[in-house]
Amino acid sequence: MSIAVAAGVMTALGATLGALLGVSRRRLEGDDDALVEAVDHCLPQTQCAQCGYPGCRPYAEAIAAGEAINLCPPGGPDTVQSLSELLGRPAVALAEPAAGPQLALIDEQRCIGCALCLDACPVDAIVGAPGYLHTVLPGHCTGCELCLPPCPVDCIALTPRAA
Amino acid sequence: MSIDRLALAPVYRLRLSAYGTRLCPVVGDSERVLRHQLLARGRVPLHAPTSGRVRHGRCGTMLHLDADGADAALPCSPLADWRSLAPEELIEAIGAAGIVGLGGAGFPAAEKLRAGCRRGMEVLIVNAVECEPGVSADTALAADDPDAVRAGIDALRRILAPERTLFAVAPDASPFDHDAMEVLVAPEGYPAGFERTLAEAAAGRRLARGEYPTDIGVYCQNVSTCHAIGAALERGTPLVERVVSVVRVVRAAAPARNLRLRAGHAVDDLCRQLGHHGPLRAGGPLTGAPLDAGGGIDKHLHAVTIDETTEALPCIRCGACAEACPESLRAETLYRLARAEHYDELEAAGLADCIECGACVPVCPSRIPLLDVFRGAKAAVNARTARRADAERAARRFAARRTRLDRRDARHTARVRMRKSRAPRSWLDDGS
Repeated sequence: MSIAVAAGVMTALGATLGALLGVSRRRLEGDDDALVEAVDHCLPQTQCAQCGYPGCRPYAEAIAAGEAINLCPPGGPDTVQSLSELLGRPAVALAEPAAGPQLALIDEQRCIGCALCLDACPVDAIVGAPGYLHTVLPGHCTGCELCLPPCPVDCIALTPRAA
Repeated sequence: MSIDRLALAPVYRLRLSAYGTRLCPVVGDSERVLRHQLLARGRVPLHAPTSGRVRHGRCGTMLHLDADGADAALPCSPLADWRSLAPEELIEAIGAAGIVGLGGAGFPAAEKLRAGCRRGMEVLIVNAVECEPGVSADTALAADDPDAVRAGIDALRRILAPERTLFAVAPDASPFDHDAMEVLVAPEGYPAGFERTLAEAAAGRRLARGEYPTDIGVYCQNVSTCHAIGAALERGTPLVERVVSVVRVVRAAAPARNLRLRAGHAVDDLCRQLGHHGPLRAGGPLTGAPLDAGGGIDKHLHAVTIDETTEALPCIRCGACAEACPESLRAETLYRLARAEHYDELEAAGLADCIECGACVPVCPSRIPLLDVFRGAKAAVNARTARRADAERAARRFAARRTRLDRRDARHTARVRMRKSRAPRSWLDDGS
């Protein structure tokens, strides 16, 4: 008799707690945005699209949805490590090897002042105007390489930056 | 306790990039100089340790002095009537003599004194507690030349005007004639000679994190620094030489040898004269960092260590390092995280609070070079923080650019709309 009572109480308790859990899961959904923010914070913000996504934020959203964490060469192994720590996923080797910190340099003798690279830079690190000499601000350049393709005279080179 | 003197080195290598800044040489390449002559200006002036010919290093970071063996000195005169000078004038003289803290850290003495005067100090502690086991440079010098030490203490008292002056000694030290100064017996064990430990003993309470002894009115100066100050004022000699302890760390530790060494003594020549053919560490057996054989010893170096211990074994998580840590850090956790390069967790676990005293090193049964690991991890964390800051800046500029482009597009759209609404109807227009 007492066993039946005990079993009944435990079943009722289990059912109540299970129901509570189910309700709270629906009512208190996790903030997806916060996760994407945290992932984005780990990324180097070069907006270079080397990962295959058009910027760091889209890649962060993809990672939150399950994309691989080793697609960012400018971030280097450090970014993979941070993401691995954050998400609890294993830290794997980079899909493409990191080139190290780089700086874009405009060859002033060859620059024709066409202003095509100014628009290409995602962080406005190139100063200049049509018909005037363009130059890269070293403090702001992230080495994302997006200015190289638009240049019609191929006068921009990437140089390794002293750490 | 005798102090030996080594033969002069053939070359002295003096760093110009030091104290977080670059010193500016005032002597040209191939110029002949005398001992005590000013070689470079800057945050801490640099003086020639011996006579010879100066060579400029290739990158402007080093001065080489080829000794001529004569050791001819620039005549030095004491600072006239210094006991009646104003504190600021004394501080100027101390700064001009290129004096830095000789307890191990090498902080510019004049800057520390100015900061102390601004804040107002209540207690002056003369630190004669050797900072590391095996090192006896301070006590040897204090016993050898007490007059200069006393002069230095008098100068500090004149500058800081403290209410109390304490003479800090190790519990087992032989007595020093300290002119009836109040004696502070340092607590047992390591790191008793660190100024934090002494300030806490004097104040009777623990310092909070980030609190310095000068924040609570306690000014701590090493006794060798007092000697340098006294020598500068009484004899006019700038800081070019100090007593350095040579400590051997072998299976059975031998007592240290104390040597008078000039600033910049070439490290390879030092190894040769000591008869040692392996790596030499700058500092005592606990805080020692590797010395570059192609360099020279810094003018504030208090000891060198000859380390012959064997290779490290894996960590067995015994926790002896955490027990030994004076800052109560979880050393075994920090080691595990540092080796795994988990830098976020490392920062959270308190790596920045490590004072790099090295107390965790000798207690490790696996002989792991914990201090080297923590120093490397700190460098990596700093590099990471710098990269994060760069990324933040880039993200802000990216967002600002987006705003600029959106505004430009909006203006363009508005302009087009306005033009369309004003344009006369074309003759092709069907009126719709």
